[in-house]
Amino acid sequence: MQRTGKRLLISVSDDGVGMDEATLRRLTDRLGRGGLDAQMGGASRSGVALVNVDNRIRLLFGEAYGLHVYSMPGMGTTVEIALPIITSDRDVPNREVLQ
Amino acid sequence: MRNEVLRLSDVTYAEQGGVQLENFNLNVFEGEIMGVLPLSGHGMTALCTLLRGNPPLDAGYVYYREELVNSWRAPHSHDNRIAVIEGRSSLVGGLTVADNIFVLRPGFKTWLIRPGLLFEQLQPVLDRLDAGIRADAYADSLSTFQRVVVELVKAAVAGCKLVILREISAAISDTEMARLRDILRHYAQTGMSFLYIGLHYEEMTQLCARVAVYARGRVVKVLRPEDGNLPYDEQYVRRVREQMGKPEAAVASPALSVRGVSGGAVRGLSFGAAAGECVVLQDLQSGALRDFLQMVTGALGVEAGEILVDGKPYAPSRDVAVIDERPDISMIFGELSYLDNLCMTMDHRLPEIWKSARAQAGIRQEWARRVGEDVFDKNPAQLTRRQKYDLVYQRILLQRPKVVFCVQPFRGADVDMRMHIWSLLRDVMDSGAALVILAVNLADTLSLATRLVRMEHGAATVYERSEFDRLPFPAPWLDLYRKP
Repeated sequence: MQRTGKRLLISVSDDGVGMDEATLRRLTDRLGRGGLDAQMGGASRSGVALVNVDNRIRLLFGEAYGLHVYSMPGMGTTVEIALPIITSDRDVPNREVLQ
Repeated sequence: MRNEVLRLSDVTYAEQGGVQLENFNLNVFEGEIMGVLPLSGHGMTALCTLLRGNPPLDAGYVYYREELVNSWRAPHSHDNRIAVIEGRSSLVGGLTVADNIFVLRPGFKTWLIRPGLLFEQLQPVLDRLDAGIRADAYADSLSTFQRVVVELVKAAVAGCKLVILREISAAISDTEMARLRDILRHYAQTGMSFLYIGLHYEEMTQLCARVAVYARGRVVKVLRPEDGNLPYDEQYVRRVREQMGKPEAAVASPALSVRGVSGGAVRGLSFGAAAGECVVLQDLQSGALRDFLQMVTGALGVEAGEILVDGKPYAPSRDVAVIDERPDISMIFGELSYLDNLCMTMDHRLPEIWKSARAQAGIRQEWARRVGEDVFDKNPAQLTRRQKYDLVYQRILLQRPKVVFCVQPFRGADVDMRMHIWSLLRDVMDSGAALVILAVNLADTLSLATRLVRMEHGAATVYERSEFDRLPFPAPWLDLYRKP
């Protein structure tokens, strides 16, 4: 976990088999897009959770935050979560979605 | 808490109709030396352009020093104060080091320039960096290493908080690289950040706390040194170990004998290379490699000593081939067909090659098995870089020279390309030619070498392969050369 001037960065890594480039591309292309289509995963309808979490973060805090996934075959996978540094609900840019 | 000097968030950027960066994410902290390892070189130039000039983005955001400086919503027109140091000099050759650093600095407003004062102020800074640079020296008299250091000082004086270093290690020696690492660490401690674009993961782990692995427009993984070797490096290590495991050939009469040759910056150079051997000629002084190459091509006379090819005094002929640095740029003739490019140096072996359609068809059929049919119908200028390298090396193989000189063969090659060039050089050795690689940096080249000839201040020292593990200087991957 790291804190910068404006962001909190949480990295979760494993040392598993990782993903090949095509699989990683399919996943990351759906992150940051928003909308139901991205969440449903097109034809495969798999991997809903990551996209869902990413969409929620972006909806609440804006497009500058969210999830990033990094992976290489044989080198494991890392999910980086970027959140804003806020100390109160009042600092949430899009507070109305919390209602 | 660490401040972020640079952040690219979900950046997609197209240039000349092609997507260069796609969903690109990267952050660099204050005082960090962040590595970028391109598995494919595509997009690296665009990254440098984007970081400095803030061109319109197709998607994403760029933050510099925690401020939004560019986004797909509202492109910014001003440049970021970010310096790029690369193989090509950005100094003005006819001006002194002090003038380049101070007078050409944006915001320099002094009307009356006092050179003596500038030299006096700058010299102590340069002395601390221990690079042997005089403040009053002209920029075009500097070695590549000194030029890099001057550009670094210039960036610091200009207030750049981020400096991009692009493939610097290919242009300077290992000893200089070790010194440069110390200098970069010194500046990093003062708060400057670096984006170090390199081609060797092992080398980058000596300098960078994090290395972003880049492939086809994206960062696919951010690695730390403790994460171990890249799978690509393991493949490379396996190849080197195979090479080291090969028994050394019985001493044959050398195809190339260089005996006490002097000319230009070269003084009393002696070495030999037998058929199938690879000799790496490393230059630790500015200009010695260039002068030796000019003697080989006949542009510079040999002042003393002799060069023998197959025991006979050397004269430029088809028995000797030279592969330029970046042959994909200088050795491909776009106005000729692929087949013409391929056959252009084999007429001494097959005099009827230009008249006989049958002979040409035979060559085409033979090489199509290796490279495919489609390349023969393409304009050579439109081939991929890999295809261009294949074409040049195949031309050399068809020429069947006795000696091949190869200048910095790995310069500017990404990870995939390096592996391919390594195989092409191996093919040259297997064809029975004596291969002489002219290199500044030993990474990659040492793994092919039968012998290393090191030129420094006029003296040449020869190391045989069995002595590589005892090289008395910082050479890359020394562990690989130790016998099990």
